[in-house]
Order: sequence, then C-alpha cells, then structure tokens
Amino acid sequence: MTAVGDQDVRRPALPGGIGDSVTRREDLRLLEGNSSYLGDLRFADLAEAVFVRSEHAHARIRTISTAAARRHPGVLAVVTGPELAEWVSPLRIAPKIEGLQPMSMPPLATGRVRFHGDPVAIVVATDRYVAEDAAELVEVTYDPLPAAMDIRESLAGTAPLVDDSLPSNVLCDQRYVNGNPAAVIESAAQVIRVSFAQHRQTHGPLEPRGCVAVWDRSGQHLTCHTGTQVPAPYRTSMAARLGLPEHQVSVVCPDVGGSFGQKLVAYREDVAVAAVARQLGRPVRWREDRRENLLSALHAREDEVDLEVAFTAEGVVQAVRARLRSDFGAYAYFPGNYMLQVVGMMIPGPYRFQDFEYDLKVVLSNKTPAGPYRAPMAMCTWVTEGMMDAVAHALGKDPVEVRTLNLLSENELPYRSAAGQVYEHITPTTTFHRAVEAFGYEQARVEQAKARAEGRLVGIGVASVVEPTTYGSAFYKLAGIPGSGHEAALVRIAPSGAVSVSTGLMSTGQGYETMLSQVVSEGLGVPADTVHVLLGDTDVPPYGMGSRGSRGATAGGGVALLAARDLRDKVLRIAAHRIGTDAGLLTVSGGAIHRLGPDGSEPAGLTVADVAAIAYLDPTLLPPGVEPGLEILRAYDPPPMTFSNSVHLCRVEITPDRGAVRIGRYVIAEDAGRLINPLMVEGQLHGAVALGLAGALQEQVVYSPEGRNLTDSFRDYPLLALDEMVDELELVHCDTPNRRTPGGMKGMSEGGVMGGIAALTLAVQDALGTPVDQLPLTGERICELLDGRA
Amino acid sequence: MKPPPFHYRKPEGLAEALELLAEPAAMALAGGQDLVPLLSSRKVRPSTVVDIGGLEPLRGISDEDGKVRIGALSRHRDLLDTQLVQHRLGLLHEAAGHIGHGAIRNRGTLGGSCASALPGAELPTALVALGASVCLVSAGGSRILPAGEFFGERATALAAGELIDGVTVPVPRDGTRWSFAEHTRRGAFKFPVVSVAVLRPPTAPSRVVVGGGAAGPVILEPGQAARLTGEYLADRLAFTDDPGAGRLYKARIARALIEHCLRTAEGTDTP
Amino acid sequence: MTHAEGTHASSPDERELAFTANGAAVRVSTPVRKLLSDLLRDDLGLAALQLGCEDGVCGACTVLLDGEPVRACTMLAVQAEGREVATLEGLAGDPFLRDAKRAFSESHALHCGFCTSGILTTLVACDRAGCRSSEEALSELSGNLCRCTGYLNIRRAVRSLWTDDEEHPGTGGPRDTGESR
Repeated sequence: MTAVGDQDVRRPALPGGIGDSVTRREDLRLLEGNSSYLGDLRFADLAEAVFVRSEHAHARIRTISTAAARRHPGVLAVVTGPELAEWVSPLRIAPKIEGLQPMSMPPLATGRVRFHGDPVAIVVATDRYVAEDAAELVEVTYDPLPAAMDIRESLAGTAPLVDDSLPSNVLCDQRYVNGNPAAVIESAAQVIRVSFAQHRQTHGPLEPRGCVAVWDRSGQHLTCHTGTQVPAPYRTSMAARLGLPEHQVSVVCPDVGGSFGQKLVAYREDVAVAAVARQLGRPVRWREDRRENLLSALHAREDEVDLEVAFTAEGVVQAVRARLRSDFGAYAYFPGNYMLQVVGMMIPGPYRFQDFEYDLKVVLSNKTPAGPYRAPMAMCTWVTEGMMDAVAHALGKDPVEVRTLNLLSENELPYRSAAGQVYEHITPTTTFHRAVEAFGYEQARVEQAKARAEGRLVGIGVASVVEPTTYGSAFYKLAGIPGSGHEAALVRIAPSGAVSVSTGLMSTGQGYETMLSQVVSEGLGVPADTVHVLLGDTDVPPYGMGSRGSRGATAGGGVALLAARDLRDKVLRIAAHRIGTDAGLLTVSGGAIHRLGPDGSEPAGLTVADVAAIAYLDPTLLPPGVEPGLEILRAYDPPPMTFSNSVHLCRVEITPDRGAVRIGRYVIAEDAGRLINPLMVEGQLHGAVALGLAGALQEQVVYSPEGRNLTDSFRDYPLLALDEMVDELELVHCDTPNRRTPGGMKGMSEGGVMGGIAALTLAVQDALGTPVDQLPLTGERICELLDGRA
Repeated sequence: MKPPPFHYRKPEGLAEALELLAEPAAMALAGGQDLVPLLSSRKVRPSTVVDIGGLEPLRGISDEDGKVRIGALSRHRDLLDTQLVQHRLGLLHEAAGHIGHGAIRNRGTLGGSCASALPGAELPTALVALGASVCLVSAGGSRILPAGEFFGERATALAAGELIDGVTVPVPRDGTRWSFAEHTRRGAFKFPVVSVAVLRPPTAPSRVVVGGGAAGPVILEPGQAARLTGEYLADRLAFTDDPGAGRLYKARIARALIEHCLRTAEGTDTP
Repeated sequence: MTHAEGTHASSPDERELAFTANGAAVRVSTPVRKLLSDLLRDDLGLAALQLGCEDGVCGACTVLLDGEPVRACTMLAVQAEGREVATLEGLAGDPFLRDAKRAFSESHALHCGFCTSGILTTLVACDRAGCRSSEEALSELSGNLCRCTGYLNIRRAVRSLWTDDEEHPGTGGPRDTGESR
C-alpha cells in the first residue's frame, strides 16, 4: 500500500488536477434538462407498479381479496405477501454479534403488518393511474393490534411484541467498557447527569425511490435500473433474494436525485418489482411517490443518550458512563447496532478522558424501519459538547475554557480514544483556536452580556467535531459488523489513447465524475477533461462497496489514484524502452511523455497515445516482461478509520413571543485533509450543515399514539427552505493531509451535520439559560422551555 | 398520487355550470391549488369536475358605488396587480401578498380560497375584517352572506350545487388604518397556521379578526383582543393540535400577532 | 371500494386538448384526470421538469404558463387548453437562462440536479417579470426546495445574476407587487 509522501501535498495544483476548483462536468447535462433520472428512462411495454400499504401500525391480516383488482382492465398482476414469498427469499439479518437478535423480513407483509406504510401487495398495470385505481380494489381486512410506540415500554417489556419470533423488542443489547469508570465516578469530586433525546427524521431526497426491472427471457437475465449508492452490493443482495446467480443480474444506475443514505439497500419494493417483472416477462417500473417515501422509506435518528460525567474541580472530565437507546422501527435492513454503536464510539470526541463505558439497547417498534442517514452518528457531537457545557455550567466556567482543558493537542497524536479509536492526522486544537479567533469569541460574549442586560435572548454555541469517515474493513471486523470497506478502480487507456476510469462508487449528487477525473488526471498525467468516467453499471466497474460513510474521495478517489499511478508507471516503462532511457528520468504531463531535467521537463517526442498504440497494436516493441494493453485494476482497503475534524461556532437570538430562532454568525474551521476540489468540498459542507440545522429546528416524523404517521407530505414534514438557511457560513480552512491515505485525502461530508446540530442546539440552550434535552427546537418547544424557565 | 377517475366538463356559461354543479358529487375546479392535490391524494372523489375557468361573469375586479366587486376567478396575483385593490383595499392586497409564493398566486383564486377556507387562510381572515359579502349562486337563485357568516365552524355556508360568484368589499372610510400578519409552517410551502387582520376605522374601535382554528375567522370583541388569555383564544378559535403546533402554541402565536397588528395598525394608513 | 365502478373507472373520460408547448402547437387526446406534469413528461417527452412531491410544495415541476411560473403537478392537463406552456427545454434560447446556467455551474449551485429545472424556470420567470433585485428573486425561490446544496451557493449564483442590473436585459423594470413576507 502506498503511503502518502509530503510531495503530494506540496505539489501545486495542476489545472484540472487535485486541488483545482473546476466546475463539474455533471452540470452540463443537469442544467440542460438532459439528465436521465429513473423517471426519464424509456422502455417499450413498460408496466407500472404500485403498492397496497397498511394504514395500521400493527394488525393481523385476516383476509386479502385481489379478485376485483385482477379483473380491473389494464391490470397485469396483483401479488400478495404469501404469493411473493414463494419466489423471493426473506432478508435475513443475523450476524454473529453478541447481544444481537437475528431478524428476518419478508418482501411483503405476511400474516401481520408492522407499521403504517408496510407493503401488503403489489399491483402492476399498463398505466400508473390504472394501477392506483386497482390498488384501491384490493380488499384487505385487518384485526388491529396495539402498537409498540415507546422505547421505555419496550425496554420494560410492557409493549406489544413487534416480532413474535423474538423474545422481546430489544433487538440489540451491548456493553463497552474502557478503564474503570465506575470507580472514578464513585470517588469523583463532582458528578452530573445530562440527557439528550433526538427525534425521528427522514432523508427526504427530492427524487423518491424507485426502480425499473427488465427480465430478458431468452438470456435469463435481470437488469435493475435503480438509483442506488451501492450498485455492486445491491446486485449481490438482489441476486440472493431472487435465487439467481450474480452474473444473471445487472444493476444500472441512472442519475440519482439525492439519497443521503436512503438509497443504500435493495428495498422490499425493489425485490417485489424484480420478481414480478420476471414472472411477467415485461419491464416493470416503480416510481415511489412522496407519501410512500415519507411513510415507508428508511427513517432515522430516533436516539437517546443519558450521561453520568465525573470531573475535577478545575473542569477536567475524568470518566463518562453513557446509556444509549434507539428506536429501530419494525424490521431490520441493517444489524441493530449499525448506527447506534458509532454514536457510542464517537462520544469521546476530541477529548482526553479515558474511563468510559456505555450500554446500548436498540428496540423494535411499530414504526418505519430505521437506517443510516447522512451522519448516522450525528447525535454524538451534541452529546459530547453538551457534556462540556454542562460541566462548565456546574463550575460557573466559560465553555471554551473547559473545552481547552480537555482538548487533545496535535502533539498527543496518535491517541487511542476512550472508545478505542485511534486518532491521527487530525487537528483538534488548531481548528478550535482558529475557529474561536475567527468568531471573535471573547467580544461575542461581551456583546451577548450587553444584549442579555437588555432582556434579549442571545446565545452562543461551540462544537468540536471529530468525524469518522471511510470505514475500512478492519473497522467492520472490530465492530462485529459484516462487510468490507474496500473500493476498486479500473483505469484504462484505449489503443487510441482515450482514458477512462470506473469505480464501484455511485454519485447521488456529490460530483464523483468530476472528482475522479481530477484524481486520474493527476495520477496519470493527462488533462482531466480527457478522462472519461463510468459509474453505476455493474457490468463495467470492478466490485466496490459504493458510496457511504463519506468514503467517496478517500476510498474511491484513493483507489483511482493508485490505479492511475500504476498505469502511469507502465506507460513510462514502455516509453523509456522506446526512447532508450530510464523510466525514472521520464514523466507524463498533459498527455505527453516528458524528460525530467535539471531545469524542469521537456517533451520527449512521444505521447500517451503513441504508447497506447504500442501497448495494444505493436506489442513486440514492449520491454521484456511487460504485458500488452494498458489497463490497471486496483483494489484498496482504507485504514480502519480516517478522521477529519472541525469546529463550529454560532450565535442565535430567540424571539420570545413565538420561540423563533434566528441564526446570526456561523463560523466553521475545518480540516478535511487534502481537497480534491475545494468548491465541491465547500458545497458538501453547506449541504451537511443545512441538513443538521433542518433536523435540529423543524424536520420531525410524528406518529399518533396509535401509530399513524402524521407527517406524510412535505406540508407536514417541512424540509428546510431557502429563506430558512443561515445567511452565511464563514469557513476557515485548516486542511492538513492524512498520511496514510492515497493523496492525503480525508472524508468530510457528514461532519457538517454533526456540528450543525450541536452548535445550534447549544446556542439555543445558552440563549434560554435552561437545559435543552429534547429536539427538535420548534417554536412550540422553545416556548415550553421559556415557560418552564419562568 | 394520481387523481381517481372522474368526468370533466367545462361549461361555457354560468347557467350550464350551475346545472352541472347541481348533480350529486360534482365539484367546481378553479385554479386547482387546493383541489388538484386533494384529487391526487384521492382525498376527494368527485363524480364530475366542473372546470369553471371559462366563466367570464366570475372574472373582473370593479368599483361599484363605494364597494369593490371581486369576481371569484380573480387570482391572488390579480389582487396584487390591480390598482383598485392596492389603493382601496390595502388590507386585502397585503393579505394576498402573504399567500404561498408566486407559482401558487398565479393559479390560486379568491373563490377557491374562500370555498376551501383552510384554517388560517389569508383571504378569509382579511375579508371578514373588511366586512365583505360573499355572493353565492346556484340553479335555484342567488344569495348574499356577510363573510363572517359564510365562514363558519368547520365548514362554509356553501351549499351543494352552489358556486361563489364573487365578493363585494366595502371600501374602508378615509383614515382607516389596518394591519395584517400571519404565522406559517416552516418549509417551502408557507402554509398558514394563524392569520390576524386588524381594521381600525377613524372613529370606531379596531376590528380584530383571527383565523387558524376550526371555528373559521373569528371577530374578537372590540377593546378586549389584547387582553385575551391563550386558553380563551384556543377555545374560541377551536384551535386543533397539529404536529409541531399544538392548540395552545397557536393561541400564543395568535396573541403575539394580535399585539403586533394592533401596534402596527397605528402606523399604517389606507390612502 | 366500489366507487371506481360507479364512475367508469375502466374508461376514464378522454378529451381532445390543444395548447402550445414551447412554441409548438400540440393536439393530443388525454384522459381528463391526467396531471399536466405527467402529460408534459410522459406524453410530450418534456422531461426537464421533475416530480418531487406532486403536492405543489417542492417546486421541481415548475413550468411557465402564459409566461408565469406555475406548478405543473397542481394542474390538470385539460386546464392548459388554449394556453402557452414553456418548459426548461423551450427556454433554452433565453439569454438570461444561459447566464443563469453558467452562474449555477460556476457557483456549484446544484448537486443532484433534481430541483434545478424548477429553480431555473422560476428564475427565468423572475427575470421576465422585471424582478428588480436578487433579493426579490431569492424570496420567490424560497418556494423551491433543494435538499443537497444548503442553498448558499444558489444564493451566490442568483446574486451574481443581478449585480449588473443595468447591463442585464430584462431586469430593472418596474414591478407591481412587493413580495416581502
């Protein structure tokens, strides 16, 4: 594995190469309206699928009558859960993890429905309107059952059982201990308890889910057109569910209208559509509508954390005992500890304490299944920084002073955190001081005191983020979660000299086509705009784990860089042999071979295209031992974890009559490693912060006590609008390279969510002068807090 | 989310429209900003959709003896663009400017807004404050109701087969001051939660109207509006609990808006 | 549920529809219940507009109706009878749109692009309506959802389009309405 040398970081950006804020190549088609999202694809004889969904949170299915729907003109198929179960195997999530219960999920509900929106039957017709008509003709009779809607009741064993194959609703029960927190807490000078509860949210990509399944009867081959972040794992999963060998399934991704973690699995609906398309021998499309998306696509973030914190009279945190709880919904698409364990793992944040323990319980409920949502661990920063504020408050000290006492400095790295994570190549102290300085923290406190004296509710929030990214295979192994963290790339030069790259990544808006062209440009020495990028077709790229966990640049970009460099080396060996010199004396630049000289390089009279012609068409001119062709396939398994870090500071003012929050200045100091495209990195940061603020302020999935989802439209689930976004994010770049990853890259697209939630919430808490232990910070909630304070 | 089957008729004249609307389960379609989403979610199932968009008698904004007659098909956009409304009915002009955003105002109509009468909707609140009358027509004849009577508890007075022809709004006396404010849900839609209109004639006490509850827009007692408790307002307006905004929170907002409007009515003058 | 049978579900009413789409006369037979957004996308292949909510909230399906922005998902196709509809495809020659596209790319004001057609169409309408300032345009854009960008780069792009009001054709004209909320 190539370790990064300093030379990579110091080298100035080539035009179009790493470090250049080039505009995106994707923009051309997207701005012209020539994009091809799922709904834009055309197929002959395309049939449309819709799903009959449960209006109950929990009920026994007494009867399903499909006769009327089948008779409806234009209807091609109506398939219920029990029928589909004969063609499709259930999704079984049963990793051998101590404390984790195995679970199984049928493609459509059988016997019982378990949440409002649970799919009961699939209806396929020649037309979407007709399919919706027919879906209404499917008669389902239910015996309603009481619903499990409350974490506490499930923990106490008093809630209805969600999955009757399990002994209780507790899906996962794990512990972690480092040092001896019990003893430290016992003997500590001071101990406080702090609570945090985050509400249920959902991803809300503007393009809902969907797929088109095409079964080729003569070739016995299934092609799934779908917007997924993970084409290769999706194929593996789909083939397994349908009982097909993997080579009989292809996954082809069109443009994807956002995902944020939601399009990460082969959904039950996808599997049902594929199975029915295979039976019908006709292409079937499912285009999810918004109501379905809000009811039945993955939800997220319903987590609670309670802390006991021991600290010295100066404010040095000595030990932390945490209790983590999460509502996982009705079924498992992921192992139960998949998200919450990372919350526990990141509670130490950038702080020095070592005595730490957490116990983690994940419970099932009669709600929509939960999954990772951009920064699945997002809550941890609020918890950690809220703890620091609570310590400061208990001692009457300034929050910045208390943080400084506990903050790791760069010269203590590498540092094994209390949760066992090895931090290296991060800059917690540098970013902290630069953020505090850029914000003008001391002056801001003076102004705050003045405003308070006038009766105004002004607050300041500070949040240091350590962002885990690019989870390597070693992490999964250690965490007991099955899966790989590797990524693969194929970089090719065609006989004409045309360059192409493909990886297992799939973009859902991140601009990977541009990013990869920049990386290959640098690694190979060819102009970026000549690099063709091909993603999202499982028949072309090598098997990679796709896009998730902020791994695009480091894992995907990293492996493309490695492959491009190897290919450059091969080009140079061939060129050197041709010219009669040593490969070490040559380089590739701008698509041509250059001789390195004492005063720079000069053209060697040979282009990459010339070398390609030799490699493919005149192999006798190749040096001994060099194989024909110019294709390099590399796989790369990144370090267990690649951390980036940042510090957020914001100022808020609250209007007491309505509890409205106005965000004033917002400063971020960020260390995102070596930036491939600074413009795109900033764009990712903006989007992440907006998502964090939206979740903390206003987006909330609400269920009635009986389990009806009351937020099934964008009227009721209010995504953040343009006029609700903070005026400006002032960015301070503190980017330092990671010395283990190719190119020095770090991941970065989730930290903004983590910092956004924490900085905003703590600023509001500061303004109110009363603990905020429950999100979101709706006007109503803030008024309740104001009333409680008074 | 596609509309269920229905018949569609686009009558040329009012008489034909009223005849069609007399059929059971017929519904009138104007700008469609409320109706089409309801059709798409299949929350309404008309047998026939009667597209009244071509009915000329329902158009136009005109001055009629100190009153302004506004045809039901006038769009929110038209209220904003018409000098007569801007100069004579500043309160209504202001209220129209609060509705959604341009793309909604370009389609939504005054008649549609009155017929839907969603809690908190801007125009009903303003019309009640202005003492407007709603003109209703049906195959059996026509009737005129004060806006305050038209917008009732959980429903309007619109009977089956009836159509809103338009509204007549008395022009406030010179020197009348007014104010309008609303609180909307978060997000892109600016869905109204509570709206408040205050009209303060030169020699009479302020008229304070609050919309947002199931009771429809309610006229509060002169002189008392500023002293009402949240609990009283919640009951009087019949505020309901919604996700993110419970009845007492809505009442709290209403109080804040009333105070705000009473204050600003001091400084806003209709020419 | 027997309702559908009572209303001839098997053969929903069809209607001849004539309107102008991007300057071309269109004559098409359509089910009367079809949404304008579906007719434009599926029958006419004008697929730049996208369906994000079909509830009139997100703005991804914004088109111009007689020059004014409307949500194509909250209109029945038959309501377009005799009207002029323009989609992003049909606005391609608009010099303001060309500038807007360049500004959006340079400012990185789009990520997944799903909302972009609706946003650009709304901006063209602002320009044509004589929007005097970028702030007015941004106020209008607060009705268009974007989930990826966090809006800051959209604001940057829009502000760049209105910095040279005098030089920019179509802006700076009188405006009838104030839209401050």
